[in-house]
This record gives sequence, structure tokens and C-alpha cells, in this order.
Amino acid sequence: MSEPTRNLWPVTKINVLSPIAILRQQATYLRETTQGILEAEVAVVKSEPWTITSFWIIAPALDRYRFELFKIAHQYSDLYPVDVSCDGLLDVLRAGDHSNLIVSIVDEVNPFSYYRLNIKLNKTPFDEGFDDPSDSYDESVRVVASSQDEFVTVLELILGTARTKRTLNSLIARTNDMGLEPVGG
Amino acid sequence: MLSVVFWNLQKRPRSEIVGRMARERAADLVILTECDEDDDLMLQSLRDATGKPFRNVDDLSQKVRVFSCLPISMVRPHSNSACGRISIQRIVLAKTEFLLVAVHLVSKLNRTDSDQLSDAIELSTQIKTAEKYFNHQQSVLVGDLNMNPFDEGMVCASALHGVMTRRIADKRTREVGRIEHPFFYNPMWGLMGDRTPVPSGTHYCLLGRPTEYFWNTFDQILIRPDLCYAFEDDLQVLTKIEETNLLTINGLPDKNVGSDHLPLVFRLNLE
Repeated sequence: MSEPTRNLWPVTKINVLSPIAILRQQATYLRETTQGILEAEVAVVKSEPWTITSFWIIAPALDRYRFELFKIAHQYSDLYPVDVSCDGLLDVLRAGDHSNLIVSIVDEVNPFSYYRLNIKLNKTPFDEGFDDPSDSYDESVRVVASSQDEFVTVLELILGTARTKRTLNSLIARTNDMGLEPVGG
Repeated sequence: MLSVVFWNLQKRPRSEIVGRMARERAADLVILTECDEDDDLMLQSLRDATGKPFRNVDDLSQKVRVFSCLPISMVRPHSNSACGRISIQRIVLAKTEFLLVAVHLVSKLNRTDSDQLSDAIELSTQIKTAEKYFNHQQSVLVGDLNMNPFDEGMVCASALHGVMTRRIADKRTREVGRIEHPFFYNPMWGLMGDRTPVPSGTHYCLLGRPTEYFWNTFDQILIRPDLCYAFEDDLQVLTKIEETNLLTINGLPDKNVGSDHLPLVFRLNLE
């Protein structure tokens, strides 16, 4: 009797979650944490070959006011790597030690030479010759998460930013100012 | 009558002159982009100059700042998106309501033409989503779009679909590829070039590239056909605020007095 072949399937992990599933979990956590004062919506815009998803914070009591916190994009056919873009992300990256992450920067200084540059974060983008941190430049920074673990790390960075905290606090305060009881729960 | 002013301040300290502009134009809403002044300073100037209780409508909107002296119940923030570049307010008046979409899209220096088209499509989608939510198509779009009225993003049916005459806009929609696309009426078409009262645009720029327009009309208002009844062509590009001239002796925007953009003021006949 011949020996069975080895298992050749390249599956090492069976609990992999898609970026969208992870965002939906965080949306649920937000509603639970704020006792329904705030909700989040994961809005998927499919656009071949990219799937672009926006993460919105919603304040139901404020006429369902919506605040877009960040966007992610990945190839339609692949869940990872995923590009994450968020206003103010550059400041967070500069402030912390995240040398394991790869930052992808769109060089928008010259729109006629549009290219991507991957650098290690232990060199800041400004060490690479960029010296004009304008608003638009900040928006051009994308963090590329190549796996679920990296994506969770990036997400944790974004949700921990001062901008996110300011947004949540402002919306909770505005809701409470209306004198309304928290809804849901 | 509702008076709205818009100005890109080019990050210059202009709270004093903004206050005077609000007073002179009896502004109900003051929309500012590239405004680096802190809220307290700007609000103080607006309140001192007008004697009205101006407030920041949405403190989360950092890149597009909307100040209003209307009651809180009349100006309700609806959304803030695209890294803070799109801010939508629901304006609820006694007899009607409309959406005020205030924007500052990314500069041409940092965007290709196709990027700008993509930005405009995203903006259009957000406006349509808000209109669907509130079940009407009474919107006015105002801001620094960083595109001219003739750029693809401003004109393309799936983007902002802005047209140069009321008569065309009055048809409300146009079918392209079996999809109905709503029009915007873009009155800025009528304010370009030198056959209009000065100036020829809202922003002057010369980068030495082969193709130059010199004057650009990046600062625009666009109105949905359903709201055009309230717009009586009461729209101006301002060149003076009280006795202060916003132009140099060569007739270009004077950055030392104002900004590299000129302000817009428009009025809607609404109660």
C-alpha cells in the first residue's frame, strides 16, 4: 500500500476575517460601548478592481448625523493587502514607533509623475525628501496592511487617535446636550 | 432672504475682515475654507461686527468651517466626509428646507484630472444619498471645488452634472445609459472672462505650464433645479469689503489684504 501524500493545501489559519467583517465587529462594539448613543456604518462601494469601504460614525439622536472616520480599499479578488486612509494618520505614525508597518505614499507633488513609494516607517516620509506636509499630502498617506494582524494594528492606531476621541466625545456631548435618553442598548 | 458668503482664506489671519464682510452682506451663513483662525477668534469677530449670535455649526468640520447666526433648530449638521472636505447641513426654514453642501476639494496641484473626476463623483454620490434620505432635491453646493465650471468633474453626468443655463437645468434630469442623472444649475458660467463686471474669475494662478487659464473659477455655487425658484441671480464675486479693496492695482486678488481667492456672496429668497 502506498504512502499518503503530505497535505499540500496552503491553509495555515482557518479563522481569517475579512477587513469588512472586522469593521462590522467594531461597529457593534461602538454601539455597545456607547449604549446606543453612537452607531457605526460600514458602507461598501464596490468598484472593480477595488472594493472601497467607508467607516461612518453615526449619532442617531442628532438627526442621524454622519461622520466619515476613514476608508479602506482592497483588490476585489483579494482581502489583503488592504489600504487604509485616514485624515491625521500621518501625525499618529510620526508620533509612534511603528517601524514594522509599510507606508505607501502617493507622490502628489508633481501630478504628472504619479507613482507610489514604499518606505519603512522608521524613516519618516520627510526623511525621503518630502517636506511639505500640507492637508492634501496628509490625505495621500495610505497604510498598507498585508494581513489580518496588521490590519487590526492599524485599526487600533486609528481608533486611538486624538481625532477619533474628539469626534466621539463631541457627538456624545452633543447628544447628551439634547437631553435625550440614550437609544437602543 | 437668506444671505450666504463663502471665502477661501488661504490660511491667512482674516477674522477682522470676515466679520466686516458678514456685516456688510447681512450674512446668515459664513462658510470658510483654509481658515486657520481658531473658532473663538473668528466667532468674536463675527459677533462684534454684526451683533448677531454667530456659532460654529459643526465643530467636527475642520477643513470647511460653517458659521451661522440662525437658530440652532434651523441649521442641522447632517454629515462630514472625505477627510473633512465635504460638510452637509440641513437648513430647516419655516416654509421649506434645503441642503447646504459646503466643500473644499483637493487642489489641482495634488490631483490629476481623473482624480478630480473621481472626487466629484464621490461628492455627487453623497449629495444624492442625503437628498434621498431627506426625500427632496433642494440642494445648494458651495465652496472651493478646485475645478473650473467646464472641468469634467463639474459637467459629467455621473459627477456634478452642472449646466450653464437655467433652461437646461429646468429639465431636472438627463438619462445617460438608462440612469437618470439630476442636473445642477451652475451660474458661475456667467461670471467668467472679461465681458462680465470685474473680476474674470475667483482665483488667479500662473504656473508657467503650457496650458494656463490665468483666471480660474474654482469657487462656485451650484443649485438644484428644485431650488432655482429661490435664486434670483443674486450672486457676486466680491472685490471690495466696505472700503477695503481686495484687488491689487493690477486687478488681481491681493493676498496682503485678503487671499488668493475672492469671496462669493449669494442670496436665496427663502423664508
